[in-house]
Parts: sequence; structure tokens; C-alpha cells
Amino acid sequence: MTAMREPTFLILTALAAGSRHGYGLIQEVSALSGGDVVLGAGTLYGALDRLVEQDLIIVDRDEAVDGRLRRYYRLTDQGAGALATEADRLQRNASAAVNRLRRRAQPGSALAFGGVTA
Amino acid sequence: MTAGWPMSAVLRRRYRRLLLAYPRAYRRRHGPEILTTLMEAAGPGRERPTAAEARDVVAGGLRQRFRLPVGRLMMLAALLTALTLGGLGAAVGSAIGWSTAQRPPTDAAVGELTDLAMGGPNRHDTQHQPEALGLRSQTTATVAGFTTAWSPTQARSRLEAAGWRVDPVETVQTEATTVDTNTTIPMGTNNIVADRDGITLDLSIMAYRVNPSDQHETSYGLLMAMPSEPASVLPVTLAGGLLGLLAGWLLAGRTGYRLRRTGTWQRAPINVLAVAAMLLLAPSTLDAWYLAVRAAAVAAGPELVGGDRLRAPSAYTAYIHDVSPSSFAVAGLMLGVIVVGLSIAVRPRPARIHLLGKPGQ
Repeated sequence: MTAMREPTFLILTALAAGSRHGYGLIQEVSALSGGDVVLGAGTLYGALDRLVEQDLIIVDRDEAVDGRLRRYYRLTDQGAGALATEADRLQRNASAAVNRLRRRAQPGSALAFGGVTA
Repeated sequence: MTAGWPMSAVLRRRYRRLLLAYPRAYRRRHGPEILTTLMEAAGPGRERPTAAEARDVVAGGLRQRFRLPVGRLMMLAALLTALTLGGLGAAVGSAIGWSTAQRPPTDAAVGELTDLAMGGPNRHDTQHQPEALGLRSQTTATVAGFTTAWSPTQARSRLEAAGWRVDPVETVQTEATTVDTNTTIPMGTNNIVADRDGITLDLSIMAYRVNPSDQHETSYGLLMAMPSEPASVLPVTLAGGLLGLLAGWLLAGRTGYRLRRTGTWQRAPINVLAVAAMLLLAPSTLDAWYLAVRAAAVAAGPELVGGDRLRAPSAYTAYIHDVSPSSFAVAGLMLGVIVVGLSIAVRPRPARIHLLGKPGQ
């Protein structure tokens, strides 16, 4: 699977802990990204449709609240797997970046053998 | 989450109107939940959607309309279908444009025109050339071997006096080989193109001396009268091409979604037939796009005069062999109709969204 787009990654992350409905997801994604990603409904449902189609998420249940329909989505096992893979990939890239930046911070120790500590 | 605030019916109605951007089937399945999400995100006290919300929902709806099923080959299939129907659309557009052209002039009218062009009554033969789909039919009058003096400037003045808009005369020196003596003699050709009331005439006068010592030149006249190209041909061709592109993409997406939920043994033969249909149409498709794009390029360039502006083939000729529809194109179209029919006839399994699992399953 190619790199996931950020909203997709955040939506899957938001669903990792349990099922959520549309507005709940928007709030959770916003919280997870520190307010950087605020999904509009059009963007959110476009992404959800794609994810359902790819069997990464599934409709969990419908709830009627004050005459409104809330539909809850949850992660499938396949979705959890895809999220884990993506999280590994991002972590690997992030730690590689952090490591390189540390070497840059100490110009004299570019060839240090295990001399860099956290 | 805040529950139980007084919901604004006005806001709800406005959101619902925005949701019209989505395809109907999608709206039926997801409309209520999207509406809920929009209402909950809006919070209390709002009367109208924000500009950002409106943009986002409308963009989401349009994206949904043009969305293709997930799959590596789906994009390719949609592109090819779009190009195939686009070429066909351009062809149909060009034929519609040409169908509004003037009827060709009667033989009597062509006779009068010939006399006017030649500068006096002459014996002439009239011929009709069969044309594809009955469009762009032209009548040819030939006047063989007249020896009266003929001058291009006078012919031009006569035509202009009769209300024709005349392009500059084109004169070329060529050579001709006589049949009886098999010698090469110089020949001068004058060409005049003129328009009036939706009719274009193309006049060629070839003058030569049968024997170098002859005092008078002998002339051979050829007059072709044909409907002028209506101004609508190019715009309707391009509009047809764009509509075809759009329709092809949407058709591929729709068919893709239907077939995705059928078994492989149902899907495979339909896919094979679809590829065969597109291959059969491919030569015509390529030619139609070439002709449409070339017509657009010519229109964008400097205005053509004289013979250069005549007889550029229109996009519909890409589907014509000789004067009747090409058998490959006909076979491809019939196969295409069968493919669409089959993909409507197969019964897809119901969409997954309707098979709601029990909570916590």
C-alpha cells in the first residue's frame, strides 16, 4: 500500500479506539492533529466512502438521536493492520529524520560511533 | 456533545439543498447522516452554511459523481471509455452542425452560375457526387474546350456584382500532357472561391494552347457548388467531444461500481467485450479526435482563403468508409450497446452498506 493521506491516517487513528459517528470523527481528528486538520463534511464522507470500499472500515450501527440519524463507523481487522503498517512506516521515517538532525546538531561528531545519546 | 438544541429548520433546508451536489443514489444512502454531521458541527444559532462548508460539500458531491471504484485498471478503463465516447460525441456534433447547412443548389441554379462564371452561355455537364450521410453534397459542372476569352478579374467582378463574396483569385502555372500527341504543354489555372447565402462555389479555369501557334487559348472550366460550412460546426463538434468525454467517464464509473459487486465469471466476459468494442472503434476514435483538434487549431490560426478553406474533412467522416458508416465502427458501436445492456442486466449483490453487521460483531 502506498503512503496514506493525512486525513485518512487520522480518521483510521480516530477509529482505532472505538466506533465513532461523523461529527465525533471531525472532533477527534481535530484533537489528534492539534487543530491542524479540521475536516469538512464533504471531505470526511468522501474519505469514509473510500475506506468502506477498501474494507478498512465498516458501518457499525445507526442511532437515532432527536430525530437525527447518526451512523457509527468502526475499524475492520484489515483497517487496523493497514493503520499499524502506516504507523510503523511513519515512525521509521520520523526516527530516521530525528537521528540525522542530531548528527547535524553536532558537526564534529558526524563519524561518531554510537556517541550520540538522547 | 450538545444534544437537544433547537434545530434551525432554515439551516437544515439550506444544507439539504447543498447535498443536491451528490448523486441521487448516494444521497439516499448517506444524505441523512451527512445532514446530521453538518447540523451537529454547526452548533446552535446558525442560520446559513459558511462559505467554506458550502464549498466543501459541493466539492465532495462533485467528487462523488466522478469517483471511480478502487482498482488499478479502473482509471485506464475510464480514460479509454471517455476518449471513445468523446470521439463519437465530436463526430455526432459535427454531423449535427453540418445538417443545418443549406441544401445544395438545383442543377438549373448551377447552370446559371456556370454561365455567370464563364461569362456567357456554355454547354456544360452536371454531376452529383454521392456524399456520406447526405451531408456536404456537391454539384460539379464542367465546361470543356471553350475558346471565348476568359479573364479572372472580369469573372470576379461579375460574381461580386451578383452578390457573391469572392476570395482573391489564385493563379498557378502547371503543365498538362496531351493525350493524342503525348507532348507537354504549359497550362495556367485560375481558381476562384466565393460564397453567397450559405453556398460556396469553387471555380477552376484551366487555359492552354493545343498548338503553340494557336491564336486563342482553349479553356476547361470546372465549377463546384456546395453548402458552406455552417458557423455552428466547430462549436457543436467541440461541445459533442466534451459531452462524450464526460459521459464516457461517468458511464465507466457507474458500470465499474455495478460490475464490482458481481462474480468474476459475470464480469470477465463483459470486460472482454468492452475491450473488443473499444478496439473496433479505436481507428475511428483516433481519427475523430485528430480531425476535431485540427479543426480547432485551424480556427485558432490565421483565416484561410481560397481552396485551402474548403473540403477539410469533418469529425464525422472518421466513422465513414467511402460514403457509408464503416463496418468496424458499426460493429464496435453495436458491441458497446451490448456491453452496456449486459452490465445493466447483471444483478449485482446488494451494496455492503445495507448489510449492517450487529454491533460488536
